[in-house]
Amino acid sequence: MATRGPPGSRGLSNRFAQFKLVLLGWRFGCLRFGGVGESAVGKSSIVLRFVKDQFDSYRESTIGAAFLTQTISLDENTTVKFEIWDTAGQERYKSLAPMYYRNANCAVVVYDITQATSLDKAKSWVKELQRQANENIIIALAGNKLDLVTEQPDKRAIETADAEAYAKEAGLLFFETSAKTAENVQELFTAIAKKLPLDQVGPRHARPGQRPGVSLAPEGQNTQASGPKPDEVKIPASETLTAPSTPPPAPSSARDAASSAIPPSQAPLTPPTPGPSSTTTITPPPAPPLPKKKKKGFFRRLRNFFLTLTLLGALGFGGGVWYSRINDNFHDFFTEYVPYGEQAVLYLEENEFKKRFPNVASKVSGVRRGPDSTEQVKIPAQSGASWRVADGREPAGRQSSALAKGGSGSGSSKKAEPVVVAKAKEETAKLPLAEATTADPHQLVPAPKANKKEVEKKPEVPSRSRSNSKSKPEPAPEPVVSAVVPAAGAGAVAAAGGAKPYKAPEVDEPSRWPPASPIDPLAVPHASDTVVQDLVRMLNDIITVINHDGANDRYGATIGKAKNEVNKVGDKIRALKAAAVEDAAKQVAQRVDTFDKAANELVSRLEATLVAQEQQFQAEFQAEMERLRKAYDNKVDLIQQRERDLAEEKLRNQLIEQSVQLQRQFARDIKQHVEAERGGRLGKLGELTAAVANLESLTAGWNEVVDANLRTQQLHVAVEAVRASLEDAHHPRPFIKELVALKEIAAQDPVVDAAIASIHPSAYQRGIPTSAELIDRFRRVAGEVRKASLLPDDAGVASHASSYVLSKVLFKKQGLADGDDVESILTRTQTFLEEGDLDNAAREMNGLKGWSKTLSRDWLGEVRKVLEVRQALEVIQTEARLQSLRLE
Amino acid sequence: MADTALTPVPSRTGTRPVSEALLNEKWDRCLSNLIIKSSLGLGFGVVFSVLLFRRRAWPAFVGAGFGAGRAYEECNYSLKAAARDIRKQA
Repeated sequence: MATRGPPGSRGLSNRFAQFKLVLLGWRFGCLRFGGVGESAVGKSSIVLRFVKDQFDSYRESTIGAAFLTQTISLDENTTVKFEIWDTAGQERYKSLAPMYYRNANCAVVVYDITQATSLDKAKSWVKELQRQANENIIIALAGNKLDLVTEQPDKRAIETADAEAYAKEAGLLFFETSAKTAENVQELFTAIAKKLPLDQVGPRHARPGQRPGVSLAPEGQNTQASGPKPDEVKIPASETLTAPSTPPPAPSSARDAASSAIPPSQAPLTPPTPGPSSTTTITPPPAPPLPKKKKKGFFRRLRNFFLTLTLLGALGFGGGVWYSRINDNFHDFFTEYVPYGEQAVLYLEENEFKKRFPNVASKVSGVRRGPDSTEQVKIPAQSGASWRVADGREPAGRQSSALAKGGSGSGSSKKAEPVVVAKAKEETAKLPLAEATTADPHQLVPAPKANKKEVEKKPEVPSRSRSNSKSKPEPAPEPVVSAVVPAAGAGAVAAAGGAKPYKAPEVDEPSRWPPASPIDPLAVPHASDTVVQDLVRMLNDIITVINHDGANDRYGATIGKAKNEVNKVGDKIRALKAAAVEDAAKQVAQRVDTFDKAANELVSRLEATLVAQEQQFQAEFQAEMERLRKAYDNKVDLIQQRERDLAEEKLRNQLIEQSVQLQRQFARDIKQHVEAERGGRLGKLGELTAAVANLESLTAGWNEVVDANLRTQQLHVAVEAVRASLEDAHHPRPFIKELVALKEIAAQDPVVDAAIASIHPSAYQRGIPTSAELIDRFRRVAGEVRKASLLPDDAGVASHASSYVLSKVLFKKQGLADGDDVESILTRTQTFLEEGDLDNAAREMNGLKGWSKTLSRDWLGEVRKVLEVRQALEVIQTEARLQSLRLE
Repeated sequence: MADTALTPVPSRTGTRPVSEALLNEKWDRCLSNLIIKSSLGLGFGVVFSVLLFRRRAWPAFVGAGFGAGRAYEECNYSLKAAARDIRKQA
């Protein structure tokens, strides 16, 4: 083969070919049974012989397919490696065969030369291979089991010539092999290897399936690099088995496209993808791209790829932006997950907004710019309503600070006010009380006119004073107050009584007010009248207010006038009261006089009426006394008459009782007489009845005798009936009715009762067998007993069997044979039974022992039952006879 | 007479065999046991001969023999036990 190989230096080195080989054949009679032997053609054996040089006569049948490899060297340079697929011959694996022979380079169809049908099967395989397998497949026909034929030539079923003729006809290699003796096996494979097209052999690891494009190149480079051969094109590239080592088909097609004469057909296919992207960068004429593509295909393709990628990306991004404006969900997703998506969408939206509302957009933008600049909106301090209107000392700062200060200021002023007012009020409240204590209680109320005048005057006073004060300039109250202070200071201190001395404020602390020279409150002496008190209190309130306001100096004069007026009013009221008191005293004196006169008249009138009443009372008393005396007399008469009546009644009753007693005694006497008479007669009657009873007992005795006689007779009859029923019966019959009748007739006879009780209940319930039955059963029992008659004590199977056999040949005995053995006992029993002597028969059978006794147990029980019944009946009969004898 | 004698027998066999039939009953049991055991042994022997001994006959006979021997032994035991019971009763 080396001659056929390329002459290069590498060609001398190991030339290596790898082929796929399939073994096909038919297995007959899949069932192996006993020593019939197996009928496989021996594919696996051939392979085993070829690969491992072994032989196994008890080889299991192949399942599915077995895979083995074997390398053979044709010469020192050429090695051929066979990948052998040893397929299974059984029918059920037939459908798998195409899978194995599909890419095979060579196939060995094996048949069995001792099986005539196996060649037909082999032929069908060959046909199938030629039809469906690789068309260049090399098929070898191998007739296996040559060893069998050489041993026994008559076993041959297929002549070598026939097979060879067929092989020649079909163009097959032909060998007759023997896996057992290794005959022709190696030759077979060598011949296949030789016939294989080794010039098409690929390098190591190249699959035989790639054979079409493969040759053993001296360069050892990639196959694509080597120049193509003209015959390669013919070979169909139908192989589908592509190993990882096989290069991808894409480049070859590109190369083909480049080299072949049909570039235009491919031209429209490639451009479209890079087309749109390239237009953005360059717009080349339609012709030039082709040579460019040719030159730097890789870069071109890379560029195209990136261009497409960017284009697709841009398109996708644009689409995303567009769609996010339609779909809210997608908007969220897009802005959140796609980088720069949010910015793009926002920009687009803003643009659209501006486009739609240009004016608003500018305004909004202006406003939007606002917060960036440092301008601030300030509310002027004077703007708005505030409680401190004219207070200009505080510079208007933030509202909050102003509020806080204002709050604190107002709080302080509010605090200061109530304290002063409360103090003043306390003072005014104290004053009237003190005055009230000193007021005269005798003073009287009425003075409304003066009071009214006062009230009318009062409102005028403050108005006038206010008009005066208004004339003074307002903005400078402090200096005036301070000026007043020294003047009114002493009075104020005296009036307040314990008020703190005022400290003159410094220039820089202006907010403090001087306590001012208070106008001393009005104190009206003897102002007990409530109207005056009210007036004084009102005035005092006004004074405190004025004091507090610091307008003492302004209202001082008016208040002084008012005080005088009030004092005057008080005086007038006092004078009026005094006048009223005098008038009242005069009226009282007059009324006392008139009262005295009236009283004297009344006393004299009362004395006259008293005397008249006394006389009248005495007359009434006399009349009443008379009436009472008469009534008592009447009552005494009545009582006397009633007592007389009662005594008469008692006497009458005593008489009646005496008569009743007499009557009773008479009756008792008569009764005694009658009783005595009757006793005599009844005694005689008793004697009579006793005599009659005696007679009756005598007759009853005779009756009893007669009854007993009758009963014994009945007993006899009943016993006879029982016996008759027992003897009459042809088969066991319950005789419980007869027994019950017998028991009734016996009427509590203890002997009869005992006799009946001695009978076994099953006897009268089921009945007892007749003697004939007993004999019949005895015969059966005797047969069984005889079988077991020769058993030893501890008998096993063998003893039983021998006893059974030997009992057949025992001598028979007759009559009352003497002896203690089983046979003689049985004979004696039979004799007694035939004589009717049940008792003796039972006694004889009872003498048996061991198995014999066990077997005859039931028969004995029966006999005993019969004996019991008979005995009981005899006892009853004797009892009945005894009774009848006793009676006589 | 035969049919009349039969009437009490079935009522007894319901509960307890008649005493004279005790031994026969034991024999019946033994025989059925023998048949079953020996056929079982034979079956096993056949299976073993097929599986292990290339269809030789002797495993079948050996199996049947084992079965029969087993049955004999059981029968022997039951008979001896019965004999022991009888002696105990006596």
